[in-house]
Amino acid sequence: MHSNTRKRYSYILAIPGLFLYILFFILPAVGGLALSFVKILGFNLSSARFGGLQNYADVFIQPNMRRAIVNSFIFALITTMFKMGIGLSLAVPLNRKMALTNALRTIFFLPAVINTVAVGLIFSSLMHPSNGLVNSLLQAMGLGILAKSWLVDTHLAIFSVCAIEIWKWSGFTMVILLSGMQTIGREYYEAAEIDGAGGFTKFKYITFPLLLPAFNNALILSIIGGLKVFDLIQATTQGGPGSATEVFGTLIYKSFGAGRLGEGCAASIILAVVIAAIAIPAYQYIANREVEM
Amino acid sequence: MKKSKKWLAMSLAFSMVASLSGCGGNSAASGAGSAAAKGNPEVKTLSVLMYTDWYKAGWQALEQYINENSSELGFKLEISKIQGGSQGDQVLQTKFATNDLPDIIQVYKPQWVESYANGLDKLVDLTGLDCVSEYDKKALDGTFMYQGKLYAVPIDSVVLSGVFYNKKVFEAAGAAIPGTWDELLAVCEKLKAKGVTPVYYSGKDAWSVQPPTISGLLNDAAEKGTDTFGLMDQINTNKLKYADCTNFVGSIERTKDLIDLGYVNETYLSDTVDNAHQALANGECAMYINGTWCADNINKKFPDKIDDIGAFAIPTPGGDNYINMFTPYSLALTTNCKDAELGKKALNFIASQKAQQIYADAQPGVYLNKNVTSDIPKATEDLKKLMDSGKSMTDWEEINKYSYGNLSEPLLNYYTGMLKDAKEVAQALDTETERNAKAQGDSNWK
Repeated sequence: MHSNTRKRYSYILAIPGLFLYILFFILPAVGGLALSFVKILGFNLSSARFGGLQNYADVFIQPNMRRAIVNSFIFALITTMFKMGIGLSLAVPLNRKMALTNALRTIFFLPAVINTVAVGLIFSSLMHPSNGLVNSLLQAMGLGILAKSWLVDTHLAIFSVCAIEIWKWSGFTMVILLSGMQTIGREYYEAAEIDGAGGFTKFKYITFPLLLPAFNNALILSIIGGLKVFDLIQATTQGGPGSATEVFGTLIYKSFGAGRLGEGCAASIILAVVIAAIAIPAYQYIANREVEM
Repeated sequence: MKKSKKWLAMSLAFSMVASLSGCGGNSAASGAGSAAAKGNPEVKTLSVLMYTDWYKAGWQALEQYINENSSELGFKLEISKIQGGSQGDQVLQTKFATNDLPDIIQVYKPQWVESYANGLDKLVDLTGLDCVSEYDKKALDGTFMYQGKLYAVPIDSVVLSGVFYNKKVFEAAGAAIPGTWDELLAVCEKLKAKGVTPVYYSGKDAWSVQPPTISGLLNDAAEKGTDTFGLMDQINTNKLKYADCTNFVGSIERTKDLIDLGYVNETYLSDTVDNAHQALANGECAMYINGTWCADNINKKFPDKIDDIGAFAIPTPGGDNYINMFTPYSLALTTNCKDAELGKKALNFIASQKAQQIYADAQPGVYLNKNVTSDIPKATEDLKKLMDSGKSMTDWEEINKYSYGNLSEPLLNYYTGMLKDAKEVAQALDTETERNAKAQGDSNWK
C-alpha cells in the first residue's frame, strides 16, 4: 500500500514535466511530420493540400542539394577528426597537476562559450582577404604566398569554416574527455608502473580503453553537431559565396525562408534520419568495445 | 502548527493572485484615466504595428505631432514595433493567420499581404480618401491601388536605384556620364588607367549584387510595350520565363564582364555595402550601383562629401535607360479596427501633405505626395529627375509573386564560376518560381 502510494506520487510529480515535454517536443515533432506531407506556401492555409511524398522528392531535386550533402559530410568528417584529435591531445597533458593546469583548461574551453554569431563576425573580419589579420600576419612573416581568400574562395571556404568550428569546439571536446579521464582510478596506473609501463603504453592500454565511454559521447556529439551545422555557416558565409558553403542546415533554412514549410519539414526529417542512421551504429560500434571499470 | 502553515500558504497564494490582477487592473485603468484626465473623451487611441527599422526620424516626428494635437485630430497613435527581416515577416504572417491585428498596420505592400500572409480580406478598402488627390494616380496604381481597391496609403519615401558616382573622380579622369554600355566601358577604362576602382561591388552583403542586373528587366518590359507590372504579370502566371527575358540575361552577363575586365574591386566577395559607401565617398572607387540608401548613408556618415556624389541610370547597350523604383511602404487599416471611419480619417491625415511634410522634414527623401518638398542629396535629385521624366519602373521583386529576393545566390554562383552561363542565373530564378508556385498549388504550373 505504501509502495503503491509512493508510485502514484512519483507519477503525479512527473505530470508537469511530461506535459511540457509533450507540448514543446512531441507535439511539434508530430506536427512537423504531418506538415512534411502537406504542400503549402507560407501561411496560405487555403492552398494547403496533401502532397504525399512530393515534399521529400522535392528536397532531393533542390538545385544545391548535391553540394549541400557533400559540404555537410566534409564538415562533419573534418571537424570531428580534428576536434577529437585536438581535444584528446589537450586533455592528456591537462589531466596532470601542473602550475597552470586550471588556467589552461579555462583558456582552451573559452571559445566554446563565445556566441557563434560573434565568432562569425570576428573570423569574417580576421579572414578578410585584403585587410584581415590572418593575411596581414602571413605577409608580415614573409609567407604572403599562403595568404588566401579564406571565406570567399569557393574551393576553400568550407575548409575555413571547418577551421573556425575546430577552434571553437576542441576545448569543449577536451572537457568531456578530461572528465572521462578523471574517472579512471589511480591504481590502474600504479599497477602498470610496477610492471614497467611507459607513458604511451599506459595511454594505449589504460587511458584510451577506459576513456571510450567519454570518447564515444564526444564523438557522437561532434558527428551530430557537424551534420546539422547551421549557425556558424550562417554567421560566416550564409552558405556563400553563392552556394559554395551550402550545407543541409542552410538548405532547410532557405526552404522555410521561402515559405515552403512542408518541404522544410521534410528536409528536417530527412536530416534527422540521416543523423540517426550514422550516429546510432557509430555509437554502438564503439560502445561494444568499451571496457568495464 | 500544520493549520497555521496551511493558512499562511493560502493567504500568500491569495495575495499573489490579488497582486497579479491588481497589475492588470492598473494598466487597463491607466489608459482610460489618462483620457479622462485630459478631459477629452472623444480622443481615441489607434494601435499601429510596424517593424522597428521602419520607425525612423519621420515616424518619430509624425507620432509626436499627432499625439500632441490629438484633441484637434480626434485620435492618437499607440505604435508597437517588432523586429523586422524574415523573423518579422513570420510574426506578421502569424498575426494575419490568427487575426491578431492592430487597427493600423504598416506592411511592404498589399500584394505582400495577399501572397505571403493570405490576408488581403483583412484590409479595409480605403477608396474615397481625400488625400488621394495629392498623388499621381500612376504612383498609386498597382501597389496601393490594387485589384480596384485602395488597400493602403504610402508611408516613407521612394527608393530609386541607379549608378552613384563620385563627381571629383570623374572630373579628374576626364570622364563624362555614360549613356550607353559601351560608353560606360570606356569610362571604366579611363578610371582604371588613373588607378581608381571603376565600379564597386559589395558581395558580402549578397543582396547588393542584384541592383546592377535589373536594368535589363526594365528594358524587357519596355520592349514588350509594358512596365514591370505587365512583365511580372506574365511571369507570375507562367506565360513568360526569366530565361526568355533576353535583356535581363544580357544585363547579368554584362555585370560579370565588369568583373572579368578588372573594373571591379578584387575583394568584392568580402566587401560590404558600408565599405562601398566609404569607398565612393572617399573617391577610392568611382561608381557604385545601388538604391538611394547609398546617398542617405553617405549624407549621414560623410556629410562633407555628399555634394561630390551624383547619380545616373544604369547604361544599357541601346541607351534606353530606366531606373528602378522601390515604392514606399504601405499603411493599411485592418478589419480589426472597431471604428473604421476614425481609422480612415487617421490614414487620410497621415497621407496628407501636412503629415507627409512633417515626416519629410524629419527624414528627407523622395515622397509620392506631389505637394511635399524635401531637401534631398544631389544624387537622389538626379534620379528623381529621371523618375519625374517617366524613366522609372516599379521594382520587379516587389510585384514578384513567387521568388522574391533569390537572385543574389545564382548571381554569385555565376560570378564565382559555379554557374557557367548568364542564362543559368535566370533559369535558377525560374526554378525557384516554379517550386514556390507548385507549393502554393498555382494551377498555372502543372
